[in-house]
Amino acid sequence: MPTVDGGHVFLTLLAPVRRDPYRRSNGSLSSPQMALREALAVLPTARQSAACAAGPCESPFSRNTRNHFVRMAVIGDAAFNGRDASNAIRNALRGPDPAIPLACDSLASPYLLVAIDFDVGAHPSTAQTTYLEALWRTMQPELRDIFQHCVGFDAVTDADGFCTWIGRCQIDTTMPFNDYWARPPAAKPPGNLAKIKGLLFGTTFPTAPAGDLPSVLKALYLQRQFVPFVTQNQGTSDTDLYARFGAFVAAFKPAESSPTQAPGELGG
Amino acid sequence: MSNVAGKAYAMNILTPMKPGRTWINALIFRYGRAAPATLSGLLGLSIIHFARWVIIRRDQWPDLGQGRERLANDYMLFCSNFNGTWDQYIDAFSDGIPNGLNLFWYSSTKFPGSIPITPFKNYIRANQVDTDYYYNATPGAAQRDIKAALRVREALIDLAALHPTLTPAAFAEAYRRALVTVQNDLGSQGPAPVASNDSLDADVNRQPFVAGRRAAAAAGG
Repeated sequence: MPTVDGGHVFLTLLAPVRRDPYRRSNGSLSSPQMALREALAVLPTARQSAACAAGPCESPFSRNTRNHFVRMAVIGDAAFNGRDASNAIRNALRGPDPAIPLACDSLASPYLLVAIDFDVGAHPSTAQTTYLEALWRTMQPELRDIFQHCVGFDAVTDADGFCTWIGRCQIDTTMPFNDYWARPPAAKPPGNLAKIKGLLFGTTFPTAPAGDLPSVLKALYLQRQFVPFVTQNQGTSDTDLYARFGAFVAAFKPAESSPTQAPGELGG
Repeated sequence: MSNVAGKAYAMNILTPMKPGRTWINALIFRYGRAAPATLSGLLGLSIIHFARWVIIRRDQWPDLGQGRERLANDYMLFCSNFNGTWDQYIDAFSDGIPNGLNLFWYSSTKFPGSIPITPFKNYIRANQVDTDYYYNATPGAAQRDIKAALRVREALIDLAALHPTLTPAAFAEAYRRALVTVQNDLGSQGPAPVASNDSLDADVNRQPFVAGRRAAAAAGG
C-alpha cells in the first residue's frame, strides 16, 4: 500500500468540517470553518524563525520524534477551471449553448486536509496506530482544539476512538515520494517481469539508510559541530588532531543517538 | 496561514479529473513505481523532502454523517514539501522534468502542459489550496543539507571507528582523505532567507496571539 513506503507513512486525511453555527467562549457566533482556521492560525509552529524562536511556544508536533512534516489546510470547495473547450460548429449544430453555464462541482461541506509524513518506527504493522496513540498522548488538548470543528469528532473520547475516527477520514496515498538517500540507491533496474508484477500488484520502495527523523536530527547536529572543528583544526599537527578528534568523538558520539538536536529547532 | 516553515514550502494542488480518465493516471503512477528509473528526474531535482499524489475518486470523500458528496469529477491531490520559492519550484519542474509532469497530471482537466510555463503557473495557482498550519521538524535544513549531513555522519562514524586503531600520523591521513570526500557537505544550517517583509511582519505579529491562546488554554478557556 503506497501509504506506507520507504520507511515512512504518508498519512492523508480529509476530515469533513461541521456546518452548524459555532459559539465561541465569548458568546459570539462563528462558523466551524472560520473557527477551525483561527485554531490553526494560533497553533504554535516549529521554532523556524527568529520571531518563533524568541516566543514562548513550540509546536505540539515536536513532542514526538517520528513527525517529519505536518500540514493542515481547509479545502473550502473544489476549484473550477472554466468551461470545457468545445467545437463552435458542433455547438451550433448540436449544442450545448456556451451561453448556458456549465455545471460545476461544489463540495457539500468543507474538508480539513491533513497530510503527515512520519517514520514507520520499530513495528511496521502497527506504525499508524502507535503513531496516532502517541499523538493522542502528547497533544490531546491541541487535537481537540482543531478537530472539534470536524464531523464525528465529538464522539471521540480516547486513543482507540481517535484511531478509529482517523481511519474513517483516511484516503490511501497513491504515489508517495521521499528522497533522503545520502547516495543514490544502488538497486538493479527491475526486469520486464518485475515491472509487470509491479503494475499488477504495486511496488514498495526500499527504506533509505538513516532516513528516519532521529537519524536525520543526529546528522544535522553532528554536521553543525563538525564544521567549526574542521575550521579550527586546519594546519594542526597530527598529534594534536588525533587528540582533538578523540575529544570530539567523546563529546558528540557520532554513532549514538544522543546528544542530538530537538525536532522543530532551527539548529543554526 | 503560511505555506512556509523554515526552508520548506508546503504546496497543495487539487485538480479535477474526468472519471473516465482517472484510471490512466492510476496506471501511470503504478508504472512509475514499477520502473523507478522513470523517477530519476524527480530525484535529480534534490529540492523535495516529501511529496505525494493522491487520487480521490468521486465516492471516496469521507462521509461521517454529513452526507455523501455528489460530484461529477474525481480529483488529484498533490502535496509537496520543497525548498526555495514557489516560482523556483515550478521553474525547476518545468525545466527539469516537463514530460514527467505532463504524465503526472495527464488526466487533470484543462491541465495546460508544463511548457510554456506561464499557463502552467496560472493553472497551479488557480488550483492551489493554501496551507493553514505547517510543521517542519528540520526547519533550518534544506533537503540537500539533510543528505549532506547524513554523508558527514557516515564519514564521522568511520573515522571514529578508525581512531583508536591508528597512529596519529595514519589517522591524520585518513582524516584528510575523509575531509576531501565530504568537503562539499560542510554547509551551514540556519534560518531561511526572509521571503518578504510582509512574511516577517506576519510572523512577528502572530506571536502574541499564539501566546494568548496558550495562556487561555492553561486557564481552561
